[in-house]
Amino acid sequence: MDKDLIISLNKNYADLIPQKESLLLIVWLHQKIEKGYINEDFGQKDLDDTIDDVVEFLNITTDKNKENLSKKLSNHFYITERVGNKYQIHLTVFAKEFCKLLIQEVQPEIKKLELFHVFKRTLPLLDEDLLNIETFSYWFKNNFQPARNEIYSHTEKLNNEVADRINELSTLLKTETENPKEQINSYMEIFTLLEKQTTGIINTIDYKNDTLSKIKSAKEHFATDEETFDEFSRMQNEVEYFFGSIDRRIMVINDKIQLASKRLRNLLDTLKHKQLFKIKIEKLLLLMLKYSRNEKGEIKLPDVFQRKYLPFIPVKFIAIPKVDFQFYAKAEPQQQEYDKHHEQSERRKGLALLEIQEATAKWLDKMNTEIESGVKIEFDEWFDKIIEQENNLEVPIQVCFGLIEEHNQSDQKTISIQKEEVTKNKNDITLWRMQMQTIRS
Amino acid sequence: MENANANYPFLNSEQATKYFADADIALKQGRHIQDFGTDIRLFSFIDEFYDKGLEDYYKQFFGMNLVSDKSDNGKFYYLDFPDDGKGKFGKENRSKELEDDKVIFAILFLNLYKERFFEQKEFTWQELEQIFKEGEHKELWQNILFSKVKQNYTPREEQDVKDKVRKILSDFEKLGWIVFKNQEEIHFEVLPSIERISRLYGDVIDNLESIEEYLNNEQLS
Repeated sequence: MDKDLIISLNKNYADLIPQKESLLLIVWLHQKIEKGYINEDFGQKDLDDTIDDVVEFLNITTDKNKENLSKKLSNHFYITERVGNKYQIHLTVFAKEFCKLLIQEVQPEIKKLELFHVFKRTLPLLDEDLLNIETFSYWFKNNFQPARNEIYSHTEKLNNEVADRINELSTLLKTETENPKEQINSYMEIFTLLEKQTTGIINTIDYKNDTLSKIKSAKEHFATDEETFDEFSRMQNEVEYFFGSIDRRIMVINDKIQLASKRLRNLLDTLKHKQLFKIKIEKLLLLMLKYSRNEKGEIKLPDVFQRKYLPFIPVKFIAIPKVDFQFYAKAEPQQQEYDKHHEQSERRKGLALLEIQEATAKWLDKMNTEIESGVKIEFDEWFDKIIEQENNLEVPIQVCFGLIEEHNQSDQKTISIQKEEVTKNKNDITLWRMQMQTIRS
Repeated sequence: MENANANYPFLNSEQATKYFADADIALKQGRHIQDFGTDIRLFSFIDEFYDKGLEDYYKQFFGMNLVSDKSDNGKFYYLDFPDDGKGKFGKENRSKELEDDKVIFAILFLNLYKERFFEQKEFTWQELEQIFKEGEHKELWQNILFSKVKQNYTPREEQDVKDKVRKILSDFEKLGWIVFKNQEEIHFEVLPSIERISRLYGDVIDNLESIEEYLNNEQLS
């Protein structure tokens, strides 16, 4: 490693590599010269105007920064010469080459040209080029060697272009987009263009194979003396090595393009299939809406849509809801499944109890009216009457309790219970004789 | 017991002790279990042991299919009847009918889910209202929801419909087809398992033309 070189680069780095503002200024000047807007030897006014362009573009507001813009440019990039009373400025060769490199990097011709075109324009090998070692050497130095970098650069750009598209495609599939189908269509267009490049690549391979076989077939022609043959072989090997290297690079690019295109097509097919399925779902919904009716607040589908069932075993035991608050916290308690059968039986029990209470109250009223009117009540007779009408043993029992409770608290009514058994034929029960009447004061 | 467990290796696992009962109850209640929210652990358990005896277990003892299904990027599991009957779920109180209103709403949500291919599948009551009141088929919606088409509905009518939709969504949440973000306001996310409705109605979806023809003829006669 040449240490002096590294030391020198380290020392001159700030002068050799301009800052963003200065770099834009040089490229801007270079472009103006290329397009003929200013002369190759331009004046101070041209420089000032271009500085204004950069200042406006970068939205630089302070005069100090504007002033610094030209001052930052080192003499590696431009030279000022005094011609008479005026100053003339021109860009250095270093500046021009630097600009060309930058432009080549950010605006590669790849977007317009196929690799095959670059090959065809830069590497034409004519029969005259193989006439003798001098003509072949001329071709090697003036066509092959300059073209080599151009072609390498082109394949690198193509590789990056394909990689960028694939990355964008991956991003597209991950992120939300408003109209994915449309976007995918636009990507299909890009990949169609890249596929065109593939055709160019295949043509390139054919072209370079032709070139190589042309060179190889001329081998005999150069075998006249050892020195010529060695020179020819050296150049042939270099061409062969270069073509081999290009082969590998373009096959990798081609594989990438094919794979990405295939993936994209599959995706588009899936989308089309999904779209078709969605149309069917929409139609099904429309049919259901069109032919359904609302019957007393219930939506009814036509019978042609068969009822479908889901497995469902209800949970009978009511449990404290298991809520995982790590995920959500509901404002309302979770509604539980309940046993409908149990609920109905409870309801029936309640109704039966109510019926008994209602009947008891009715008989108590009736009997009290009788007692109030001075009639002596023989409960065992009433017992039969109540059983006959209510057909429920609970009712006369409740009536009996009711009477005892009521009459015990009253001074004007008496209850006499004799321990004389009265046997009933029905229900297999026996009563004590009980009488009730009002005491007249 | 050990021999029996050899056929159902999942029973020997530590996860089974933790998650099998919950997963089993959920599946038998018709739930669709997916890699989402509170079901994550149950999903992981089923996913891991599906091929390790779990699928066979339901086939062998319940005559049911434990189905592994997929929708776009979402995988989910559910119990389904076999082709030739209902297995052990054929007895009374072991299955439930999907009511007509739920069918229509499930198809609507599937449709909305498919519409949002790359976006979030979240919906609000306002969006549903827009479908019912301003959408392409607003009259049809109003007809089945309000039983009549009017310019304006009373607050009571509006509330009844909102309650009805909330109830349907609540049942769908139990099935694992949606998840509420806010139940009161009706803000929810449709989950991949909504795809199940297309499996249930696959025969109908494949024969839409003949069904339409039948319905048209019915209407004419």
